[in-house]
Amino acid sequence: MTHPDPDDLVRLALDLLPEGERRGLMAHLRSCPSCRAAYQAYLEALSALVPEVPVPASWEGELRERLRTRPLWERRRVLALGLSLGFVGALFLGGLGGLRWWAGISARRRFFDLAAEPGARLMPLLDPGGRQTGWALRTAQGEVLLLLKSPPPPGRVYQAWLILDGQRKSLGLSPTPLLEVGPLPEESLVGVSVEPPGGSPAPTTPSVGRTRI
Amino acid sequence: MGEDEEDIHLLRRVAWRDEEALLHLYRRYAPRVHGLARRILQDGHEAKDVVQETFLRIWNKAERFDPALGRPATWILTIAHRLALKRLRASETFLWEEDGAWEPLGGEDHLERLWVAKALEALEPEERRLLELAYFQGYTHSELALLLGWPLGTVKSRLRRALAKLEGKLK
Repeated sequence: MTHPDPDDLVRLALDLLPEGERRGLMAHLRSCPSCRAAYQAYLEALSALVPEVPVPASWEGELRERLRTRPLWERRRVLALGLSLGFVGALFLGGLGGLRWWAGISARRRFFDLAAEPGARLMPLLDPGGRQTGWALRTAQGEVLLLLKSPPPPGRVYQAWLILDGQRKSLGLSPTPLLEVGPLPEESLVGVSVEPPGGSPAPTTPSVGRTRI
Repeated sequence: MGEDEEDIHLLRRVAWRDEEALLHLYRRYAPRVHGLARRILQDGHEAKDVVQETFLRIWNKAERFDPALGRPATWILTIAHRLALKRLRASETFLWEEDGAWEPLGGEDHLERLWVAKALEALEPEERRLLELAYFQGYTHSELALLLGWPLGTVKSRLRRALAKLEGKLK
């Protein structure tokens, strides 16, 4: 295994690395116990420099208010609405069949380009009947992407879910067969359902694909 | 249950939108997040925004925490550090301030300085200065070399040595 420059681990702990380099190093840390231990030691050393300053009691109430003003899945609805509007606009310009074909091709190309990169890992997405409905990909940088074999039914979107302790948390929506869900811890259990364009706070249809990645 | 295990459990509950779990973490870590933000930004209002943003980020991203990469405490401080540096870089105060942006002694700031001084007492003055500039003011290695007039290799080796000394002191 090739190890990074030790100074880059210092730069990582100081948060001085550009995003691309940072992600690359984080991916290395996931598979390298010695570099991970060095990085963690730097973080611990730096955290010892941090002073404690009491916070006014009123801040907690303000935080609580802010938590209640914009639930996460509502914000994702806004994103989904944007995606949907973009999708509808593109439909208007390009025609349903052409756009769906184009979206599917682009999604597959991006997914398999990433899957071909060193360190990427693929797992099959399976429906409840055990049939493969797509793939899950963990990139070397720890990003997780899901690709279904077919696009969602017309007027519907795919919604990705993190399944933890028997509960489901939305990881985002897509009108295409590709869902980019971002970095997740190793061995995360993820699933996909078909939902209305705004997404749903919990799955409303059976899983169309699930895997641990 | 140790504090780290408890924090991991709390983060898991936060991932499921458990407000009380987030507020528990807030009560435990907000003073450190606040201390870090004040130390970096030297501004109470900006520091407050960083505290709130940090915990909102945790609220929205708790499922992204990976225990393989560190403890919850360092993860939370990493989020706060990033947010505070981003604000610092966006502000006009991120200039070539050789002497840093120390506030006058007195009140909370004096206490902060004492705390930092205690943690830093294992270091040589030049190592201390280097760490302060890098961690609290976000200077890159090459900027530090330019600012301090040292070769880049010296900056790197002194930073590593300073961190190793701090680490040794923690043990």
